[in-house]
Amino acid sequence: MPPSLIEVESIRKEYPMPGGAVQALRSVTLAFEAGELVSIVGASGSGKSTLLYLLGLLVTPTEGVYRYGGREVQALSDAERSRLRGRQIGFIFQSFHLVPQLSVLQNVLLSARYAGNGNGKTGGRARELLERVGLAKRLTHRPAELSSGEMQRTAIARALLMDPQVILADEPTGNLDEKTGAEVIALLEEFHQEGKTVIIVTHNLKLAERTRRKITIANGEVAS
Amino acid sequence: MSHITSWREAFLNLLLHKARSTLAILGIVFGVASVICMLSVSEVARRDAVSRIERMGLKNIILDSVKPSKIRQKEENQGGEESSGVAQYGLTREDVKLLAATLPVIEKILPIRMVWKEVFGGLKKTEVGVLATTSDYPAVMEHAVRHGRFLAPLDEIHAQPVCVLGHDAAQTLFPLADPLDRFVTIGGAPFRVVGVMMRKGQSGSGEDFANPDQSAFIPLATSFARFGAYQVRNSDDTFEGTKLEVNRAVLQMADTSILGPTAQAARNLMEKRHRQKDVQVTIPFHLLAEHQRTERIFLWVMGSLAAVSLLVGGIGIMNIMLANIAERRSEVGLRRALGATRGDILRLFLAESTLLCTLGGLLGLAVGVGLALGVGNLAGWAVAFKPIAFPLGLGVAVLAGLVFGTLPARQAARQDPVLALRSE
Repeated sequence: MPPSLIEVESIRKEYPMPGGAVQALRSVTLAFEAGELVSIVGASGSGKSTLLYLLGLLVTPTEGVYRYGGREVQALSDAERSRLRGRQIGFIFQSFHLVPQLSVLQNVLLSARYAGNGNGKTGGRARELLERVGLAKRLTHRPAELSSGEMQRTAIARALLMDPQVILADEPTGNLDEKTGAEVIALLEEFHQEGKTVIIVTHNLKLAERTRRKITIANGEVAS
Repeated sequence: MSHITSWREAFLNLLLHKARSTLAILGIVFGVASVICMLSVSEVARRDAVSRIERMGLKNIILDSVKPSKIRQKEENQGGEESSGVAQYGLTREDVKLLAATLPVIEKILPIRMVWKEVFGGLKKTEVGVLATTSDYPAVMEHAVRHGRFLAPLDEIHAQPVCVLGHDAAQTLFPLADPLDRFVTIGGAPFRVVGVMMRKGQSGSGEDFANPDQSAFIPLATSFARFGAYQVRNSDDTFEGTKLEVNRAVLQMADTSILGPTAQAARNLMEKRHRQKDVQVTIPFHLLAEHQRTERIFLWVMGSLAAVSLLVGGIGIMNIMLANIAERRSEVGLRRALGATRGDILRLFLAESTLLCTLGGLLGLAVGVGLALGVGNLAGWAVAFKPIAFPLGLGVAVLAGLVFGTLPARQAARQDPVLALRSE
């Protein structure tokens, strides 16, 4: 049986704080298959975002094993993890995180900067993606000139530029109204249909119900 | 991420905050400008001092007649007015002969006497001074003849009434005509012009000595034969009489290694013969070394001031960079999420601080050149620049960018990407 795309085993994450260490994750064991659409739900402070960032190689576990494509990644150097993240994982954030001084197109192309691809190779794909998310006419606009929905669609295009295997979305509809949120989810579903693994952290139970698999995190542990 | 992209991005980020960036680099601009200006001023001073000292002759020992303190005090007691009486001091022709006889290492010895006589060109009194000397003057003082000849040994032997004009003196006395074989009146006596000198410039002890360019040279023997050993200077109600035979004796050596011992021997000899301490011995070569020491101290002092200025500028850059990074924390988090390594983040911010300081350095070079030209214009000197000043000024600015940008850039690179992402 081929290994899962992502596997975490007995993962523990502890944040040292002046008043004593805070346990964000305690003995989490999970596996994500390629092409899955998964939602992670839980109360605020339950550890779901920490789990998402850990899956995205932005957080190093205090203990446990993390395998990506069957390869243990916690022993990798910062540069190796960054390279893997830049090429294999796309992030979508609640607050979009667009660089205000860059245009829509430049924001999307920012993904390519750290993956070693120049604008010449990725420019066409960036335009294609922006057309797909309905922003073909907004290429030169700055983020301040966009609506919240347009900003999130720009962020989705940015996340997909390097054609990653995994999309990690942290509350992607948190700052959007219901209608715009539904449009964004529809887009994510569309990319999932094309074979992407999409993992969404959300408070929105309605959104979670639309995913095939729902993981509930409580007190840093997998509750269900 | 490629270095070109880092630099381009850094430039765009700086452009976004033009006012802040401009204010941030002011310290660097003035620091570099002060380096350029300081080095320019020191270069002007160095060139001036070195050329004055060199004109005295680096293989020479100079013996100057100085008014003894006893005579000076007497003059001061009389209310600063010139004394009415005859002061007798200084080198004599006998001293010159004795020095030549007792110190065989001396290649040439050149006596020079300032003659207090007025020089007339036609009926017009001029500011031209009179220097009485011998035929060795051009060789010892490295002052060449432009036109005609210098005083010959025969002129000295026969105390001929001939003269050679300094470059400016020739222009003053004969602005339109060739001065050769024409006559000038010195102390009421006619002197035939036999030559004109090249331009030389004032030597190191110029304040006390006649400018050779603005002088007429006559044979030493002629000065004594025509005007005597005593000299008188009249003013409205006083007169100053002096018996001063030789104002200066220049001893030329074969090389610089024997300057010290020879000067000491000359000093000892003069101390024996001149109890009233009216002879001062100077070694231009040693003056040059002394000047170089002084210049080094000056450079250290000015360099320290410039370094303080650059330090303040660098701290300003560090502050701005820290503020910049605090403002862009979430951007750092985003870049990390997009695959940037810690090194990429470090390079991004280091490129910004280095670029900021490089721009400050370039601006500083321009301001420094402008300031030096302005100061030179005000002070009336020819501005000179040390070529090393430009790479040095720019290099220090770039270094300041790297040094003072490192701490903020490291801070940015070490940020927890998740905390950075949540900071918005």
